[in-house]
Amino acid sequence: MTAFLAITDAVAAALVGSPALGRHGKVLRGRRTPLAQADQVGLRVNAVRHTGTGVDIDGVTTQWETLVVVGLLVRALPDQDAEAAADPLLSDVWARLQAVVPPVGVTQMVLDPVITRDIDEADQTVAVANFSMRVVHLTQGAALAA
Amino acid sequence: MPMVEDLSLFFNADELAHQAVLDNVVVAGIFDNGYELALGAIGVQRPTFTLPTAACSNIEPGTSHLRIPGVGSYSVQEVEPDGTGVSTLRLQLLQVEAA
Repeated sequence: MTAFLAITDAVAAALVGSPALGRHGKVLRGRRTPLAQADQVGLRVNAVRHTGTGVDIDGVTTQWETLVVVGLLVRALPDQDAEAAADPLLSDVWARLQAVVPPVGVTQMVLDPVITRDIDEADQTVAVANFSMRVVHLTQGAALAA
Repeated sequence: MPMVEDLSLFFNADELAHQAVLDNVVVAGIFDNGYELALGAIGVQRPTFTLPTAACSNIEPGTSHLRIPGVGSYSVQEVEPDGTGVSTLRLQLLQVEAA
């Protein structure tokens, strides 16, 4: 397993843990699957960038910064606005992401204090909120494993 | 003499149109409710009701209601006149109705 997969595993595990986040909420890693019409909320975990730099003279150790984006997808109830619909999960997801257990090889995990949001109006009001986490980690030699 | 088009031909409830109740007034129009992907990530329906502009001149977006028997009740979010005497109402679902 690469260090990259171990990182998104750890992030997804923190979100899947009990108690479940949101009624009918599904946490999917490495998917672009749309939020199904039967679901009120959902979470998506995706690594979007890995930037590496050599950190020693021999070029044996590579330090990576992996950017993981967690998307919160919400469908509002009739007569509910997007902000009210997303609010209960917003703080829960934030807290869960602060508590991710770093996998082997990770030297730093920083949850960026930026949440980007967007809204659309359809048969119901829908919204997304994106969290991003920067993870610094090391790999050795030609392997991408930690 | 300006041409006056008979729009009732396009909104015939015996053919493609639905009969509906718009703020307690019976109207005929064409209902669409296609699937779309919202925000690149959320599966939604985009309900619209297209009808003669003259039939929806008193609508108040956010307040007006449209009920399509056997389909559901909707609030009217926006009125989009096309400039030729036909308007499209953008709808938001309030309640599904059994067919």
